[in-house]
This record gives sequence, C-alpha cells and structure tokens, in this order.
Amino acid sequence: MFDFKKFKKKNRLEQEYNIVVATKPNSAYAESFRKIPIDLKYSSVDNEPRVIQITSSVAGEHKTTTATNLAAVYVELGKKVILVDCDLRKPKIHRAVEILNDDGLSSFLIDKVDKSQLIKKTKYNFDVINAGEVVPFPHVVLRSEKFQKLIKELRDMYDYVILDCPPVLLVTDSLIISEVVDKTLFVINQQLTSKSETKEAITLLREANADLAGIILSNVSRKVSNYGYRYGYRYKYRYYSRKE
Amino acid sequence: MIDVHTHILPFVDDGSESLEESFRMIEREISLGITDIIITSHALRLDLKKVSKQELIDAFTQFYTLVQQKYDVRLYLGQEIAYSDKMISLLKNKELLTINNSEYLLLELPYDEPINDIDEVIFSCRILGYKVIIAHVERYYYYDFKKLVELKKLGVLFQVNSNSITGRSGKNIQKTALKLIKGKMVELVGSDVHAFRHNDMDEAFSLVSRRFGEEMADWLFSKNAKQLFNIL
Repeated sequence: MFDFKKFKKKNRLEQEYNIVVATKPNSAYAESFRKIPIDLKYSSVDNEPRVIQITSSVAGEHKTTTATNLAAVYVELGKKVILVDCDLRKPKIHRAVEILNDDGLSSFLIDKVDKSQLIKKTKYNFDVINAGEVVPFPHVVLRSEKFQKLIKELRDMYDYVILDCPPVLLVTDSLIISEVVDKTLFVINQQLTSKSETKEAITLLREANADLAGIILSNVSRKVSNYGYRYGYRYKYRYYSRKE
Repeated sequence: MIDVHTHILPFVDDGSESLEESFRMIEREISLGITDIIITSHALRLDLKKVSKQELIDAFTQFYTLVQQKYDVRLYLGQEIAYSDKMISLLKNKELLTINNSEYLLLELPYDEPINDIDEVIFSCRILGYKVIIAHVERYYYYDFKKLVELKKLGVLFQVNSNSITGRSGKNIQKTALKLIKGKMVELVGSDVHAFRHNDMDEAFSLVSRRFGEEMADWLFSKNAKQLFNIL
C-alpha cells in the first residue's frame, strides 16, 4: 500500500520553481532567458545595468522564476551574482534555491542579524539574501538608509545584483526599491494579467521614475511566440519604449 | 499491529497520569494484539507543561525498563509536535524528536484555524531533512476533502485515529477518515490513546479489513509503520 516510489516522486513543493538554465541548459526555455542579459546590455550601452529590479503588476507572473534564471545566466557567463529577495511579504527565492528562509533582509534591516549571516551560498553558484521573517511594514524598512547602504555595498562586491520585488499593484515596495536600482525589468504573465493592470502598473513605475529596461512575457502561448520554431518559447523579452 | 500514536508515557503530557494507568493502557494494547507501541508525547502545546527532549528521553528510558519487566511489548519514542512559530528553529537545533530516530515527525496542526502558510512549514521541514506526518488528519474541521488532497500534494503522510474510523469521534470525522482511506491517502493508523480516550484499534482494524480488504488493513496498521520507522 505504501508506495515509496510514488512518495519519492516530486511533490508540489519540489516542482514549484524551475531554474532551467541550470537544470535543463539545452532547452529552448533556458535559451529564452539567455537573451535577457544581451537585451539589458543594449538598453544602456555605455553604462551597463548591474543592479536590476524584477517586478510585475500582480502576483503569479513568474518574477521569481525570471530572477533565479537570470542569475543563473550571469553565472554561466562567469559573473559573480547575488539575488536579493525583496518580497518581504511573500518571499519565494529561498523556495526556488531550496534553502531555509532565516537570517534574512528584514532581520538585517531591523538589526537582528549582522551582514556576515546575511549572504547565503546556493548550489546554483550565485549567492542569495533571503527575505527573512515577515515584518509588519516592509515599505518602512525598505526606505531605510541601511537598505540603500546594503545595495551600494553589494554593488561593489558583485558583478550583478538582482532584486526580486513584490508586485507593483499590490504594494508600494517595488516603487521604493526602484530608486536604488539601475534598471527595472517588468514581467507579464500573458495568460494572467490584463492589459489595464499592466498599463496601470507601468504608469505607477513611471511616476516613481523607475528606469524601465523592458518587459518579459512569461507563459507565452505558442501562437504568439513561434517565430517559426515548433516548440515555441515560454519566455520572451521585449524592449519597452514610452511610445508603446 | 503497531500503534503509532499514543500518550502512554506517564507525567509528561495530558496522557497517562500515573504508572498504574500507563500499565493498564499497555495491557489493553497487548489484549488488542499490538506488539509495538510508539509513544508520541505532546510537544510545544501551550496548555501543557514544557518537557525538554532530554527529560523525555530519561522518562522514557526509566518507563521502558519497568515495562520490560512486566510485559512482552516493544516501545519506541517520538513526539506529537504541535505547530508553533518556534517549531522550525527548534527543529533546526535538533531539540525535537522524530519517531524512533527516523526522519519522520508527527505534526499536530492547530484545531481552531489553519496555519497561514503550511507550504512554507512543510518546505522548511524538508530543507532541514524531516518528513512530515500529519497527526489525525481527519480531525481538522477547516480542511474539507478537496483541501486535504491539496495538502497531500505537499508530500506529507497522513495518520488517522482508530476511533475516527469506528465513528466514536462523530459521523463527519468518520466519513472523512473512510474517504481518505478509500482514496489511498492514508499511510498510518494510531489510537491516539489518552486516559480518557478508548482504544479501539481492533475494531478499526476489523472495519478497515471488511471495507477495504485485509491487505489494506495490514499496511495501515502494521506494515507501513515497520518500513517507515525501522521497526524489525
């Protein structure tokens, strides 16, 4: 009756996030993430963005998948990368890289842990700062000088700093964070988010003077994404201009 | 048969309150055909006094010595760990006991409302190297069958109480318990015996045998526990 094989089969928690760039490097899905750094570079040729924020309109748009895979792409390119989970309300990075969510950003910002405990190594060869325990007012701690100082220090320590941030339409955290980054990448789940939600979120980011580098379409249907390829990319990068 | 969920160890929780009572409970277990008993004293229950891991191990060792002088039964130690915010850090510091030193821990969920983010709790346990068995999974009123299916997908094991199977805990609970067994979602059955709770493992075994076949009953009442908890 007890089927050990079945139990050993991946459960829902194990299938949550897929860092395909590391686990299935030859897949078309992984390949689509490899385009992101190239396009990011072209978004600002003279001054390549090194501190990159990833956000979206609402939850469930694959921000964490994008952030982790982008980090893995930079690792492939031989770069030193750190991924910071700035979603202090619903942290997910630790789940994607399979580490415990302890001694994180929130605890650091309220002086509960020091910097040496903060940075965690992962099996994917990029470093991670967890979100840590849930705090009542994340936007307050994210506005702190200590956070800004931390990002500055990380900029000196790493080639690339990627910040996984909460959705723009739900909380203001991402708008605050956009002040300390070089560029913002905006993820849209094509099957989930409406045009009006996307527009509203982009307007909010613009009002906060976020430097939007482009949008990433996730969960793209084959019809839209073929370019002649039979399999179709699930991820797609588009340059975003103000005229759009 | 193996009873995987009992509160027989005296003085450590709301189970047995005296040595005599514990002996009576053991005699009852033996009379029902149980050869192996797992003691799962409460841990982290706010309404009960705190007993440290070492205190529990010492109490168990002393008790088992006395039991071995009188009865032919094997005892194993574990804990029924009530969910609390501190649970993960205690697990990290190895301050809680798994069942018979296996990787499996028996987790009791709150009775009044669901945990905010159970996915995160199960995930953290997994990262720390533990596998979770949900204690008497049929008894949480806020989980309907559909939610239990979702919970199962997190890779947890389900334990059901014998008195839920026999209907002593109410019709609805019995219905859920039987539906879970029918759906092959249950791995273990235990009596969850306290001084106040009747141990009806024999009746439950007969009922499961009648309804779902003897093979299924053997797995639920004995074979699964043997495999999972390294019981010879």
